[in-house]
Order: sequence, then structure tokens, then C-alpha cells
Amino acid sequence: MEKKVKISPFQLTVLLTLSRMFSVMAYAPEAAALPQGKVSLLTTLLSALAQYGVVMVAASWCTGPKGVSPLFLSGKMARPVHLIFSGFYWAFSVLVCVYTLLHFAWFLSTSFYGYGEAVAMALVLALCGGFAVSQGLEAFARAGAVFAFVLLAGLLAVAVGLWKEYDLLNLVREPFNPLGTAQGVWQGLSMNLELPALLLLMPYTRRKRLTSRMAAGWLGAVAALSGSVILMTTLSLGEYGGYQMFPVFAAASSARILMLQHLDAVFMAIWVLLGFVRITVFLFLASSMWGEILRREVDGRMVWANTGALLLLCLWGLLAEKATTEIFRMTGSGFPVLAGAVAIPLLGRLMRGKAGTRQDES
Amino acid sequence: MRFDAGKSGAYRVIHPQNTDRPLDADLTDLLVEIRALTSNSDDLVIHRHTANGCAMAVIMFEGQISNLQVSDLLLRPLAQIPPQVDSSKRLLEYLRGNLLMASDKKEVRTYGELMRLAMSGFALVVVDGEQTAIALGYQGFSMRGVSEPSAEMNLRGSREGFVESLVVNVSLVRRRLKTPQLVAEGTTVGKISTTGVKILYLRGVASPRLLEEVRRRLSEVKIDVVLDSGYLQPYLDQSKFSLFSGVGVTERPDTLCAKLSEGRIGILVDGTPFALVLPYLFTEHFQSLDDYSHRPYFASYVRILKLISFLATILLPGYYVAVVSFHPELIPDILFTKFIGSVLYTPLPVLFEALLVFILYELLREAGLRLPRPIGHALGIVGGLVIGDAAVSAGLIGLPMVIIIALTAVSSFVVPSLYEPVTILRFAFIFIGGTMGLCGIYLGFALFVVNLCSLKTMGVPITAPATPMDLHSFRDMFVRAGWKRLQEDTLCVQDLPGSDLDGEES
Repeated sequence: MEKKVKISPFQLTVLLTLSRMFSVMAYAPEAAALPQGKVSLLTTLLSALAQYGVVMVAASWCTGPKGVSPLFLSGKMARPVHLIFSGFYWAFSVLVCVYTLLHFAWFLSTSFYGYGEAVAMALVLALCGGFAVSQGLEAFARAGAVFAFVLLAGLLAVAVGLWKEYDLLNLVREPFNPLGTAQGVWQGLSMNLELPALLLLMPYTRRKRLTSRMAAGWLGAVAALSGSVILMTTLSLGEYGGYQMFPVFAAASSARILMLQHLDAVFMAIWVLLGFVRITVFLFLASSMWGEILRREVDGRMVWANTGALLLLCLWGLLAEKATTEIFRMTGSGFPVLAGAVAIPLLGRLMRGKAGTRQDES
Repeated sequence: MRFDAGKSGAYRVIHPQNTDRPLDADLTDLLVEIRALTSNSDDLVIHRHTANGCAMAVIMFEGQISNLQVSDLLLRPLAQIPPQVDSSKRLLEYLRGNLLMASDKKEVRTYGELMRLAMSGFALVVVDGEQTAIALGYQGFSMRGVSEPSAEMNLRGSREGFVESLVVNVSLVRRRLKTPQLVAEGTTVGKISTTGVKILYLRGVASPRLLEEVRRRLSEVKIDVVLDSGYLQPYLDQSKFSLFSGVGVTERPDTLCAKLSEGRIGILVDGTPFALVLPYLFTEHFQSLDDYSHRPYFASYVRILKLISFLATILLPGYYVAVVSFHPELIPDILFTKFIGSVLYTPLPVLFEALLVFILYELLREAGLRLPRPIGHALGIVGGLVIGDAAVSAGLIGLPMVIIIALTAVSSFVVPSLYEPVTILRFAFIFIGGTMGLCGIYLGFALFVVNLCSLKTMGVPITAPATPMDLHSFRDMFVRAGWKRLQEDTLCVQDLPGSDLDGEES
């Protein structure tokens, strides 16, 4: 289905960068037994290169006359195949939304609010995401530039506030660990939930093909921001930061600017806006997958129906601890990303290739 | 007993009289019809005159025309018609010629046109046996002189502002844009009032699609009486609900000229000094004509100050309420005792205290707006000293809250064109901050930004050129480059990124 709404590739890049930064803000290398210090910077760079390779290969599999999307492949095949593909991506989008809401509630309950209030805030975030999606993709794509400015200004403020805490020794203490580096590269790749999102959102841009410049620009921006955050945190907190669940938050709490004694409020602003962007992007994707299933453009009813489903799933996740653990485990396993960014496009390509051969033979 | 509350017969659709029919040839019938149409209104003046056996009449409204001009330029020449003009046809031809002098001369063939021109200060000459009247512009009604605009002051630049007369307003624009490209298209709105409207644009610069859309929307106005440009604003604005309008208002001819040169459309309405400008972008609220007279560094400083003031006025009260209510740990130690002390020793929760104080402030502001000046001064004393000081001394409200109000009030007047949305947003953020804390404030801000970004004014995104981003436009957005750089090219609003207008020129 030809998409009516068109945004610029730059706007999509900004949105996906902001969405990706939500995960980066919860970066906890010690919790995942990953390398620290300057090795983390190397890990970030290598992971970005790996992700670039994966996304360019996947895009080449999904490219057709109409543009880039795994659904373009399935759209030319039997209807049940298209339904299965769309259904998978809908489930993927909802999983990411629920994961984001749970993560959001978890952070708020450990830092600023009580548990009940944090749950309420997560539900409010879902509703806000629904409202934002109902305003249209163009609207929140344009808003992305404002949020990007807030992110950069906030990170700069925290970086400046920490200048007295920086210690270069914190950066050089860890020797090179090949296994740890490989683990870090894998984690970067497996936790980049935006890789499948990029392929699914390309039809909404004015560019038909995913160019190497666009992919490199997005991944480069994420790597640069991630590297800056890791550098700032490592230099200021050192080993102490590695034991914190939210090291960036711990760093922001230590930052001092004039009479403002800590910049927690700045971190919360960044966190809330990034969470808002991620929820909005994936809720939009979930709604558009329904559109693919029902063969209709995204409308208000679809958006609010998906928001309602998201609220129920989020409540279930928040109330049932086991559910939360399962959702976090599934999201961190790498299966959603590999399936969405590699397996499905490859499967679609192979099936399309066979169908094309059979047509030629007949 | 029948329940019929809410039903009212007080409202009905008024159908204006049908006056599109042609003028009667017989003079008596014509005059009878005019008296009937006006119900023999007291201010209708009809001079009957005969020249060489041909009857004629002069029709005008008292107070609309200049008596001196009518006497010298109309009635005196009518008394000097030569004897060879002895038929209706020859008389009409003679009057059409050089006899009657007026800068604005028209011919009228219907009752509707005749009445509209007569009520616009024209004197109309009708000849017995002819269905054509000659309208002569001898306007002499009282009107306010051109003076400094009251709602839009500048430090440098012109001191002239629009007035209530449409003709004068168009001339103020024409004097500044001495180009034949400036087009003033006339139309009327108002079924009963038939208020004159001029659509101004620069041919070759404004988009034809934009022009067509403006004409279409004005044709949809079905209001009976149009007394101000504000009546037309909802018809020209985006249909989606928002606190922000995509139609700008200006009282300054120099500002309107600047906007026209960027491909926008200006609308002047008879009877009001406020012109409409569209499309109007959000960043323009932070710009003024003074910026182009000041040096670039100062102009940039003023614009950034306005932006910060806008953000402060909508967010600061809510932020204070959120921090004090939910996150007192974020308050710096040096201020902690003062803030918490004011909260602990006041009877109301911070949320209600803030709402109460801001409602009080709005009451005082609204009351002072329309009071005569002597009482207005007294109101300032009562509001500021008695209520503010007494309330703090009595412990009803805290001193930090008074400081927040003062800062917010001053900030809100830095960008007066945004006062309406700012007032509502301020209350919204206070409520959000008091119920959800900082997380709610940030989510509210995110929703505000998304809603703003969803708006389009006549097909142009209201947040352009900030987003969708146009780097070239950054030279004259929140900062201002020097004139040597600005003169390289001029913005054409229809060509901004995200615009639905195709960039065609009219």
C-alpha cells in the first residue's frame, strides 16, 4: 500500500536515534558483565559497524520497485504469508512498547516516585503515546527535532556539571578483553530494537532506498551519543558507576552547576522525552501493522485500540513479576531483533525468489 | 408539564432583503423604492432637481458625505447645465463626462450597489428615465487620524498604524510598497453589513494556490454582521483545534508590507485597524520589526530572550508546584528552608495556592483592562500592595509563590501575541505539576510540542522553518544575521519544507 504520509530521511534518523538513546540511558555494563573503560568505547564502535552491516544486508533483501520494507516482499505473496509477517511485526512492536513502559516504571520507582505513582506514570505515558500517534507521523517526526535539541542540551549540561569529577585514570584501567568486547558487540546489536523499525518505516520517507549514507548517519549518531555518554559516565564515576543500575542517572545526580546541586531533573527530562519518543514510534508501527492486516490506512480507532491493548499488557506486566522478567528476558535475548531485521527479510526474499522462479517456469 | 428548557425562539436566520434587482427607470418609482428599503430613515437625504425639463435626484446619507464638496463639486455644476442638454439620455452622457468632478467615480445599476455606495460616503445622481446612477466619492465621515498603534509599539520605525478606514489603510500599504505587483482585491463579507474587505498580495511572489484558498474561505463566511477582522479569523485558521492560531494580526502597515514581501496574504477589513496575515508561523511571534532596525547581536539577544520568557511563563509555575509537591529533594539546600517553610506554614496545598493566586492575578488584569485610567491606578495599588502584601503577611500564600507570579506575569507580556495560549497552558501545567510531578510536566511539554508540530497554516507547517528544518532560514529565525547576508535572497513562505503549496507564483 502506497503510504500517503511522507517524512524526510533526516526526520526518521532523528526519531530512531532518540528511540535508541532510551536504551543507552539505562546502560549498565557491570550488570551484564561487560567490559568497561575505553573498551566500552571500542565496543560501541564495533557494534555500530556490525549493525551497519546487518541493516544494509537486510535492506538489500527487502528492496523492491516500491522501496524498502519486509512487507513489500510478503505483499506480493499469498495473503496468509503477508498476515503472518504483519502479525509478527505487530507483536514485535507491542513487545517493545510494553518493555519500554515497564522499564520506564522501573526507573521512576527506583528514583523519583513510589511504586504506585510510577505505575500510574507508565500508564499516562502510554496514553500520551496514543495521543501523539493520533496527531500523525509528520507531527511527532517534526517534534523529534525539538526533543533532540533538549537531549543534546541536557547531556551538555550534565557533562559540564561533571567537569570537576573527570579522572582519566578511570578510562584506562581495564585491559582489552576479546570475549567481553564480542559480548558487548552482540549486546549492542541484539538490543538495537530500532533496526527492524528502520526497515518498516522506510516506506514512510520520501526516499525509496535505504542509502549507506542514511544508515551510517543514523548508526554514527547513535554511536557518537552513546560513546559520549559512556565516556562522561566512565570518566566521572569510574568503577563506582559500573555498580549502578542507572549509571548515567548516578552521574547526573553528581553533576553540579552553580547553585543547582544535582541535575536529576535534567536526566528525568531526557528520560521522559526519550521514552515518549520510543513509545510513539513503536505504537505507530503497531497501528500501521494493523493497517497492513486490515488493508487500511492508520486511523484514530486503530491507534486507540492499540493503546488500549498496550495499557492492558502493561498492567499485566507490572502486576505480575514473572511477566516482567519474561518480557525483559525476551527483549534482551536478541531474538526479536534478529527475527525482525534478518530472518523475516531473508525468508521473504527466499520465498519471493522461489515464487518468481515458479512463475518463470510456468 | 412539558420539559422544554433549552429551547429558545430568540434565534433565527436573518435573510437580507433582495436588492440585486436593477434600478427603476421612473424617478418617482425609484425614490419610493429607496425610501421603502430604508424605511424612510431619518439620515437619508434626497435632493430633487430639474434641468431643462429633465428631472434628477441626488441621494446621499447625512454625515457620510462632505457638505462642502457636495455643494461645490456637485450641486453648483448641476445648476449650470447648458440648455442643449434637454433629454434624459443626453443629460446622463453630460453628467458622465467632465461636469462632475470626483476622484472616485462609478456607475451603479442595482439597488444593492446603490445602497452600499450611498452608505460608504458616495453621493448618487439618478436621472429620470435612466436605469443607471452615477456614484461620486465625496466621503466626509469622521474618522480617527493615523496615529501610533496602541497594541504594537516599536522603539524605532514608523509611528503610523492602521485606522478604521479601508481606503486609508490600503494607501498606507501602497505608500510603502510602490510596486505595480501589489494587488488589492476587493470583496465584501457580512450578509447584512456588507463590510468591505481587501485582500492584499504581491503578484509574482504569493502562491496562487494560497490565494485561491483564501478567496474560497472568505466566500464561506455567512455571518450577518462583520465588525472586526477577528470575526474572519476562524474561517482562515486551521480546522484542527489548537491553542495557537495560524493567522497573524498586525496594526502596523510596515509589518504587513514585510509579510507581503515574503509571499503572504494580507487582509484588511473596513472598520478595524487590525489586519490579518496568513500564513503565520510560530517563530514569528518572537520577531518584530524593531529587530531589523537594531544591530544583529542585540536583535538575536531579544529574540532568544522572548523565547526563554515564553517557556518560563508556561513552565515555571507548574515546575515550582511539581518540585515542591513531589520532589523536594531537588530543591538546592540554600533555598530549601525558604521553599519548604512557605509550604508548611500556608494553609492550602501548593497546587491550590498556585491556582488561587493566578486566578486572582487574572481577575486583576482583566478588571484593569477596561477600567477608566484613574480607577485603573487605584486597582493597581489594591491588587499589588494590599492583596499581595496582606496575603503574604497573613500567611495565606507563600513569598516564593508571589515571586513566581511576578516573574511569570512579566514574562507573559514579553510576547503579547501569545498571551491567550500562554494563560491556558500555564493553568494546565500548574494542574499537571500538582497532580503528576515533574514527569507529568515533561510529558505535558512533549504533548504540547507534538500538538504544535501537527498544525499547518494554509498548508505550511506552523513550526517551519525550525522543524521541518531549513538551515538557510536559521539566519533569520531565533537569531538575525546582518542585512548584507539577508539581502542575498528573500524567504518565500510557500517554499518552506513541509509546505503543501507547490511554490508556484501568482
